[in-house]
Amino acid sequence: MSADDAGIPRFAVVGRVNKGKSSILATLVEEADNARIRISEIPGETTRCQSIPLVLGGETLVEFIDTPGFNRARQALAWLREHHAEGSGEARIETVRRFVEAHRDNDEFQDERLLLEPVLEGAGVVYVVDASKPYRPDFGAEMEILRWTGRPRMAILNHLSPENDYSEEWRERLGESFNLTREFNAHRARFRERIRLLRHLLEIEEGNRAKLEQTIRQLEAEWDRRRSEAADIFIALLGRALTERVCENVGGDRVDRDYKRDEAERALKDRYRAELRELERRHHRRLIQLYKHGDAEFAEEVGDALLAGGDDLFAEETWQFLGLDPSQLALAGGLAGAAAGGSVDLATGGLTHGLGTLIGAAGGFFAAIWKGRKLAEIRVSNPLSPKGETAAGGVKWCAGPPKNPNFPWVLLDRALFHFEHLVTRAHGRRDRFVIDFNQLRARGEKHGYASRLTADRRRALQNWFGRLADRGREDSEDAEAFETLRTVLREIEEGELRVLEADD
Amino acid sequence: MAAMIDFEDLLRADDGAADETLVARDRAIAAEQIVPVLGENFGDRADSATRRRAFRVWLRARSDAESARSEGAGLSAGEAFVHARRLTGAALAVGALISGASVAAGLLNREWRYFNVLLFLAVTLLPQLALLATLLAGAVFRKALGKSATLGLAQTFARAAVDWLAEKASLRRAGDAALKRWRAIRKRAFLAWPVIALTQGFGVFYNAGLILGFAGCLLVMDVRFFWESTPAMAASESLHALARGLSAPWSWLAPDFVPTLEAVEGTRMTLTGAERGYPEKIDSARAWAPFLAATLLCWGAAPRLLLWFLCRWRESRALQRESFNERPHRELWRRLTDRPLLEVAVSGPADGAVVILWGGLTPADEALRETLLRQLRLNPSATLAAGGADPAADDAALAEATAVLRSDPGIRAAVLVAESWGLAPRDLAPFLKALRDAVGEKIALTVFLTGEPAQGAVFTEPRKSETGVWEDFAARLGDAGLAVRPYRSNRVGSGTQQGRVDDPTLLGGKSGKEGAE
Repeated sequence: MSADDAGIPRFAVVGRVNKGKSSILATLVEEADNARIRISEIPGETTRCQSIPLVLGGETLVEFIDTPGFNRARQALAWLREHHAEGSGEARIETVRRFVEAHRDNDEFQDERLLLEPVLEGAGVVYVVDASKPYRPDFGAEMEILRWTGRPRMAILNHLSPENDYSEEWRERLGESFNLTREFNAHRARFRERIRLLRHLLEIEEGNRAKLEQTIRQLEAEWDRRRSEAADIFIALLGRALTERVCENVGGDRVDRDYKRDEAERALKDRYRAELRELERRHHRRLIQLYKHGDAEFAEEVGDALLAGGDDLFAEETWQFLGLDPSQLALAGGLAGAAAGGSVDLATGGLTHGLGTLIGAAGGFFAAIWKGRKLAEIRVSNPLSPKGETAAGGVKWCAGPPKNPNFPWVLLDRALFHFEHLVTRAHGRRDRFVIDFNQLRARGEKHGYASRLTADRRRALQNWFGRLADRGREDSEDAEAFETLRTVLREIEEGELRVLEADD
Repeated sequence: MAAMIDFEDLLRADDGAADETLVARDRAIAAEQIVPVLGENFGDRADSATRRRAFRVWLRARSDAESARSEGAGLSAGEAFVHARRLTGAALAVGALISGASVAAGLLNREWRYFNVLLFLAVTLLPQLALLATLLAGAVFRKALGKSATLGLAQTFARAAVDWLAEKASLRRAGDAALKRWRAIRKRAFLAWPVIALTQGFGVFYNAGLILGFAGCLLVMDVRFFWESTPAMAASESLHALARGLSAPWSWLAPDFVPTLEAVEGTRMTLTGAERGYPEKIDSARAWAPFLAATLLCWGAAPRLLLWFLCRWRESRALQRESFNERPHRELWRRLTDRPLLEVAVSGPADGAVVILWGGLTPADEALRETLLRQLRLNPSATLAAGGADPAADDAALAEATAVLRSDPGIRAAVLVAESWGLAPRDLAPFLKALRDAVGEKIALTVFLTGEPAQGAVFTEPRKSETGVWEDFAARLGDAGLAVRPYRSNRVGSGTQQGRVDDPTLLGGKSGKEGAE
């Protein structure tokens, strides 16, 4: 009994060598591991049929078959014509069967034989062409052979190169032999486009739609869940970065003299920076795993100028193009100050006549302007001051978190920028995964996500940042911030909120 | 409220438990108790209503389990809170009644049995009106100040009170763990409202006490009223205007409850002149008592009662609008809706090959890979070297080939890449036999021949005669799985008559003479 009989929809992805069949499949099923689906620029990378089933709890829902590309389609078609007596439909299918049988023990038409086998066993045909290259008559032989198989067929216009577009010409040609022609860019397709392609497959799947529909539902549910987990990763990153400090017991001899004290402070600040960078990287790696780019080589391209500024997160230029602009920062600071001042008014039972709110608002406003211009200055505090000594006889020093009101926004922007790279990176790509901050740098202005959030969203996040500072991570209710982040992530996924250039 | 607190308490009780344990437990609850109520795919609906229903079922299941574990002994955290609130409410009500009555009675000048109207209003009403004004201002500027500011003080107070309540009520007896959980729960905003409601309940009963105390004085004593003002300009008109202002809400209904200007003037105490002393001209009680009682009712008790209702409504709304989306809720939801994910059940393409470069050949990796992919349809998984200056390296290569084969199930062939003009049969024969022993019978062996080196070419075509020598050599070895394949410059992928190695039977069946030109 074939898989088709068992109710599993099967699709053979066929086409000429090196037209992106494997890339399309890797993108479609989110397989970034090159050891499992091999992709390269070498023609003929796929040497035999490879079954790629999507399995849920041990049950196969849909099976894709990656096939070697057509190599000798003209000769194969000539063989078919030569050995075909007469008639169409079933008679032609029988001739194709004889073709496969005749070349089972030799390699004259090995690729054609391999790719036709699953089709004859009942798989639907997904024919891939490169729409960035023009149509040539020899492609007609491939289409004709596939027509002879009698199976339902869909053609996919892949775009391997952005320079040229011959889609119209291809559509015209493909329309003669295929039930359906759709576009799908294996290197740029986002989640919605993948789902759309699966829905198109429903149109050529005759008998086993239920499992394909189940697959689509499952994928959508998983994607939604993934977004929630991503929002939680953001919450964890920001929560920790805005609350945690690096503390050290500094021996008494290191605080006696100014130069030794400066040295100890510098070392502690460096340690804090290093830990914060590691925290950021750790959360970025969690995102990479979540979005199944686990094996992609991950790197940040920050450019010489940024590196010269110190390091990535704390580099001066990072702060120039990420985070909120001065007016937004002042407004957010003013609101936060007003909130704090309002508490004073309430505490005095209204006797201060709103003066607390006014002073708080003004203080927050100007402090945000003043502090917001500075970089993430890391303060070293002595929690046991003035005379508290540790049991070891020294003093306890703690570094961080930075008090600059723009710090959480810069951190958020960096994480969102990384996120956009992730969700726009198709799994069929095998090049190095680079977070290119240079692109933002080149624009020379605030160009992050935070500066483009609506006031409501900014306030929701600002309130949470404030609670984190006041109450700590565990006691800060984060449901509103979580929902806000989920919405922002969805908009980035859908391309509604984007920083990356269209061609990135 | 009790259910909500129990829910939060049980969630916090899971802190520190192993993830696997929690997942197994909650998955069982989902399968056995939630799915029958909400359906198989309840996890697809992530709205707060679905979460609420699922969490309620989870709470019931967990409460039952906890109850069975403790054999029904003791109160749950929610029950303890509700009991404590009820008891505290009752105690506050009694205390407030007594306080109110005491204050009212205390304002009566016992010696002369006079009430000072202005003092009465200042003590009983002014603080309440000031507080009311502050709360209203907070509500009006709520949006500008943000939630935290509006509730800031109230929440701080509420939390302290809730802590005190909880610790005094029963949780202290329940142990440190219960207290720790409680301290985590008390941060939830919805818990502020019950405590604020208690304060407003106190206010209602305090005003009731004031009215009762005031009424009691009137009933049991012959009480009179006066007012006085040190600044002369504070004329009767001002007090009358104040009284009219305060009476505005009921003056249309009960005009007698508003003191007239004559009554105000008639009850003013003067300290100088011929008429100095307490006024005796008019019935002061009739003029002021109804007004003061109505004032307490309208400006003291009623706003507090309204605020009490508002607090209860906000409490109810906070519970109804709970998004169930805080971190512990999200973690629970994930455990409950945890289900298998789609897997891509693919193992790598089974076209791997162990490649051994014989006699010092060193082609670039990419060139070798491209050539073998095109000509043999094999992908080099590991590239080793043998046949060099050191014979011991041959053994190392064989050992490594064995190890690679064991670790990579995708390998189906071993390829020896050799120069066609460099055959040394007595050197190579034992190596190929050892290689066969190392890789076993199922792995195809291929000798891939390249010709003489040429400028700019990694591989060149071997001479036909040299290929023939190799084929004869291979045939003499008697290994049915060994094939000789010369490099072909025009062979790109399929399309030649050459035998290829992607089919083991093909490889095995074309020993020796395979690949003739």
